[in-house]
Amino acid sequence: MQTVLFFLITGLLAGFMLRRHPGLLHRADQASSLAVYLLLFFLGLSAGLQPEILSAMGPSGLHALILSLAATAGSILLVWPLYPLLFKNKKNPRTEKKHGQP
Amino acid sequence: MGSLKIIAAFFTGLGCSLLLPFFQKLPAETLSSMALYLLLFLVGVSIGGRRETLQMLRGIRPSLLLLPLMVASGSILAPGLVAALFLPLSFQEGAAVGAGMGYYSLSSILITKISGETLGLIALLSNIFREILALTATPLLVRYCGRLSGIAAGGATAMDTTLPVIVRFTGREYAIIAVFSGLVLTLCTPVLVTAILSYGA
Repeated sequence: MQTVLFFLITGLLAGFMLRRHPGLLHRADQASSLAVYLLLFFLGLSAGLQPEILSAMGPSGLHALILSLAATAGSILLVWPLYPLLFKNKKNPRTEKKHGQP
Repeated sequence: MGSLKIIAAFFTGLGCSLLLPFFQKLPAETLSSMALYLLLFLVGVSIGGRRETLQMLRGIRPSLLLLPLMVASGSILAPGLVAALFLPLSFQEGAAVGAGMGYYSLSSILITKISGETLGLIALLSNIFREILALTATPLLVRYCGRLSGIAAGGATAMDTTLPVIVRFTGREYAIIAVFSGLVLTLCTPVLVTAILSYGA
């Protein structure tokens, strides 16, 4: 938990300080998609080393599908009442007051 | 497209470990930890460096935080309940998978680290499904399930991969709100997943 927060927050600060260097930020984006592929590769690697995971592949896929439907439905259900609450009768959905402001 | 490559990377790893003895000797654990920390750092960099981040910190009204808050609550509670009632999984496990909010790369790795490969695999697939669902169903959802349903379905991906679809069907004026919600959720995903799984452990 602390490690997760540490790396996230250091990254946020670093990104903020680098905000005037779009080239470097672009590099960071490229590096992060590379890191994602590497991570998934390693995930596959360690999954392959444990035979019991391979046999659970089928049921896991079904469970995954059910859970993703539940997550989507749950979030839509809870967000539904927010629309009339937050956005009805507001010309600009982002800010309600502050006229003359860009 | 992105999710296809992700699945390909996963199966390449799987194939390598099964077929090539060299890969079985790699310290996959250590390497993936290092890649994970690098990724977390880079996610921070990319959000901290976005021009919209500062803009939004200034211009957004606080009540809009309700939107990501409700998306997160729904994404955590519903899968938790479904897992506990209908699947051979605990509430905690279902909730952690849901807390990925479509952010499959980061959430699946974190879950693998904390709870093992089986739940990690479920998290990977489930969150890829969620992204695909948001990409394909948003036009219908916006029509029948409320204006904000596309943003809700997109979860953390509402700021990047599913943003074009959301903007197209929800309206241009909701682009900033979708990015805002996705941004908040992207930052919350790693924190929520670890918090849920380490609760009571």
